[in-house]
Amino acid sequence: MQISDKDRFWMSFKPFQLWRFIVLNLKILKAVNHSKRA
Amino acid sequence: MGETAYDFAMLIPQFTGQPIKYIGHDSGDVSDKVVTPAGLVKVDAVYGLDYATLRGRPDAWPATYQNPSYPSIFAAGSAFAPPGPISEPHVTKNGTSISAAPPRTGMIAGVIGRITAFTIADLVTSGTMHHRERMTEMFAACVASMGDSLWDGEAATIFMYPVVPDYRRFPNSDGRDPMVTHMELGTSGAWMKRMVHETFMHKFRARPGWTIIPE
Repeated sequence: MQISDKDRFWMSFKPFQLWRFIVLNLKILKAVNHSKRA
Repeated sequence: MGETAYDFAMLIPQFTGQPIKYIGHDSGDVSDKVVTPAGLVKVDAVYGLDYATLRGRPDAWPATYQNPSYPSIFAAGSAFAPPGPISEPHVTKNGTSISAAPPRTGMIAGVIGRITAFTIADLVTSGTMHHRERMTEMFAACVASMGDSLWDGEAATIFMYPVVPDYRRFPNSDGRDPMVTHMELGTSGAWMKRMVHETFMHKFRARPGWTIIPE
């Protein structure tokens, strides 16, 4: 996979990365709740 | 056989168990009941299927991780013997067999460890097992770090569901749920990695709220 200059910008753009951090955490919590954790 | 383009490749030697001899009550060798020839512990999986058959049998993957011959033996993480590879095995020109074994470390080992711990507690308290989860129905996340700085570090964050492809439920997306299975790169991954380290140690020390932290 080639990483373009545009990709590299978004990878280190802190406000966007903060948004992705929140989304990734919510995805993990949702997926874990869907698993047979009970 | 085919060729796959790659920038970097990581090939890992085959996982094997410890060369222990298992002796039964009658002093006979019971190794074939406890472990596979590779030394990994047999559990409630369906062994001996070829890849084409295994691909269509998500129920061939273990659910309780209990040895069928010795019910007091459980195996979690990289200790249990998977029923086969998770993608088509290949043989190189030199005759070396290359097959993709399922990942059984990290979050997956934690999830299976939780299931077996609950199962053993169930057996002690009620005599029946209530917890089960196959790798064909298991979610896992992985953070591959590329620099741990919280300012300019980066990591690849990978989500996979299910860990072992289930071609019955997801026939058009290589056996995985395309709404969940995902990878992305960025500084958020470095923050995720730090958070995973901190919360893991919190959980490991059984500090307040540790039970709600995912594996």
